[in-house]
Amino acid sequence: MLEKRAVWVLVEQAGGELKRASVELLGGAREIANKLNAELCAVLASASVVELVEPIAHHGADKVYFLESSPQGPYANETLAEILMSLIEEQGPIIVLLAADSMGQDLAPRLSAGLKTSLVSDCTLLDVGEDGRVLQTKPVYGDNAWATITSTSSLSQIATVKPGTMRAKSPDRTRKAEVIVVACDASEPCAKVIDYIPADPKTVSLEEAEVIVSCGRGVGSSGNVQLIEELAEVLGGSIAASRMAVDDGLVPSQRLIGMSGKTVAPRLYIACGISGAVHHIMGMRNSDTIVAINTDRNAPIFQLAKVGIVGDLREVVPAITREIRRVPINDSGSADRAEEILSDFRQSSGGYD
Amino acid sequence: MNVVVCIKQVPDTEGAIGIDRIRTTTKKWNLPLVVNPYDLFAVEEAVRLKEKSGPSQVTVVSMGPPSAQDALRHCLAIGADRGLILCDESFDGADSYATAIALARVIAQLQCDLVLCGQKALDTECGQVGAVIARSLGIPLVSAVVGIESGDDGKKLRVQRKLDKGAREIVEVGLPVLLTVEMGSTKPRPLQLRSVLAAKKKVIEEYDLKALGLSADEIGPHGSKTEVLSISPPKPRATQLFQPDISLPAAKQLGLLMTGGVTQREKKLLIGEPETIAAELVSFLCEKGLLRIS
Repeated sequence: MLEKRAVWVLVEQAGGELKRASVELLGGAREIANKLNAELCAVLASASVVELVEPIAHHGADKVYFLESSPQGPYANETLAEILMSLIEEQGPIIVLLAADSMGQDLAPRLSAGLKTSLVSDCTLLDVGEDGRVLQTKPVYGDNAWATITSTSSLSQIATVKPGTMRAKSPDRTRKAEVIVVACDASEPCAKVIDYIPADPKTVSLEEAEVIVSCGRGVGSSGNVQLIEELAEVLGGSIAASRMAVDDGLVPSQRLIGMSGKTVAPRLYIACGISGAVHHIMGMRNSDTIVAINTDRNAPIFQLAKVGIVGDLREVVPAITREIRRVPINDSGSADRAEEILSDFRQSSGGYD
Repeated sequence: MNVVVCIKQVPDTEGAIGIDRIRTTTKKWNLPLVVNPYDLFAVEEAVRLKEKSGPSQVTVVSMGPPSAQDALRHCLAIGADRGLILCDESFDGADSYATAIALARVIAQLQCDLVLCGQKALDTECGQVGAVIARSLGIPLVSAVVGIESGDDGKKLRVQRKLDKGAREIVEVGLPVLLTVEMGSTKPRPLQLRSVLAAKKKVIEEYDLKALGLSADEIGPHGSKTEVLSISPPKPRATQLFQPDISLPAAKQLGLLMTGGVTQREKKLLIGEPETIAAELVSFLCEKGLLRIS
C-alpha cells in the first residue's frame, strides 16, 4: 500500500511551554505510530509559539503542522475545528489523538461530528490489533468496567486520551521534525466570550489547586487555623490538612491529603505543623515546591521540603502573611535580593528533581 | 422559547459497590435504571429558564427501550411539558453517532430554539451526541455549560462554561444553539409527589423508524462508527511501589521504606526571627514566580 499513514496529535501549550498532557500524549502516540509503522505528526494549535517546534520533535514527532494564523482568543474551538477538519480531510491520518482536557473534550466531538467519523473519548490504553486496527480502551459504567472499542469507519478516527495515562518519553535532543506551515483563514465563531471568572481557591477542588496551604496537628486550635486561612488568602491558595488536623475537626474531611484522602501535585505546597508521616507524604510528594514549617527540626517533612522553616507557626505564618502583603509584586528591590538568595539556592540545589 | 432536552436512561453505577465485576453486561448486574445525572442538570436548567422567561415549552426526548419511559416521566415531574421516545428494535446496537443522527431527525421536526444535552452519559462516557446533533441541525455548539441566562432581547443566551482548574467563562451566543450541560451548581430539584403523580398521567409520544424516515443504513449498528470488541473488568494500573537499593544496609533500606522512599534532598533551612525568615521565604517565592500565581 502506498497510502500515507500517520498518527496525529493535537499539541497544546500554556505560557510558551508544552502542556504536560501533550507531552504524555506524544509519548503514547509514538508507540502507536511505531506499531502501525506510521509517522507521528503533531498539530500545533497556537501560531505564536515557534519555539515549541523543537521540543515537540524531541518528544517524538516526525512532522509538525504549524497553523499560520490560528484562531485567537478564548473559546475559538469552533473555528479551530473547521481548520483542523479540512486539514484532516486533506491528509487522511489513521487516527487523531487529543488530550481529554477542557479543550480536547470540546474539540474532539466537533471533529468527529464534522468528519462523520468515530470518537472514543477518555481512552486509558491504546494498542494495535493483529489486523492493524487501533484498539482503544476506556473506562465505562463509572469505572466499573473497561471497554475496548475500535472504529468501523474508513475515515480518520478521533480519540481523546485521559491525562496521566500515557507515559512521556524522555526527550531525544537529536531528533528533528519537518515543519509544514498551514495557511488558514479564521472565521468569526458564533459564541463570543464576554467574561472570565477565575477559580475561587476556597471552593476549587484540591486536585486542581495551584497553591495549597496545609495544616497538621501542630496547628493546634481552630484559632490558629485562621492564621493559615489568611496565608492561603494572600497566596491565592486552598486550605488542606493532614489526618491529624481533620480528626481534630479543624478542617473538613474533603480537604484531607494523604493515602486515605486526596493525592495532589500543586505548584506550591506549604505544610504548616505537619510532621510528614508517610501516609501524608504519599499524597503530596509530587508537588513542585514544598515549603515546610515545623518546630521540630528533625521532622521527616523537612527531607522533602525545598525550604524548611524551623519555628513556631503561630509566629512565622503571620509574619509571612504580613511580608507578602507588604511586598508589591515585581518589586525591583526585592527581586535583587531574591536573586542573591536564589544564587545560594542554585549552588546548593544540585540534586533537585 | 421552545427547548428540547435529550436524555438517556442509564444503569445507576454510582452505588454499584461490590458488583460482580466478572459479569460484564449491566443487565446481569441488575442495577436500578436512572436518568443520566448530566441530563438531569440539563432538564433543571431548561425548566428554570422556562420559569424565568415566561411562556415556553420544554420537550424531553430519549432513544431507548420502552423502560426509558420512566426516565422521561422523571423529567416531566421536574417540570418538562412533553415527552418523546424513539423506540424501535432496529435502533438496537446504535453507538453515540447513530443515536445522535436519529435524535437530530426528530428534533428537526420540533421547531425549537434551544437544544440541551448532558455533557456525556454515565454509562458510555462518550460525550459525542451533542456535537453530532448540532452538526446535523446546522446550529452552533457550546460545551461544558454550568449556567444559562437568557439575554434581554430573547434572541441571545449568556452561558457560563466550566474551564480547567476551577475557572469559568461567560459566553454570549445567539439562538438557535445546542448546549451540552456539565454537572454544575444548578442542582436538580427533588421530586414532589404531586408532580410525580401528574407525570404518570401524561402521554409519552412514541416515534419508530417509519415516523423518523431514516434509512436502514443510518441506524443501529449500520449507522454506527464504532464497535465494542470487549468489555472486561477494570485492571487498575499498578502503582509503582518504591523499592530501596538492595546494596544499602538493611537499616537504611527499612528507613527508606518507612519514609515512602523520600531521600534527603538539598534544601534551605531557615531558622531565626520570624520577620527575617518571612522576608527570605517571600523573596524565594517571588523569584520562583510562585506568588499570586493566578
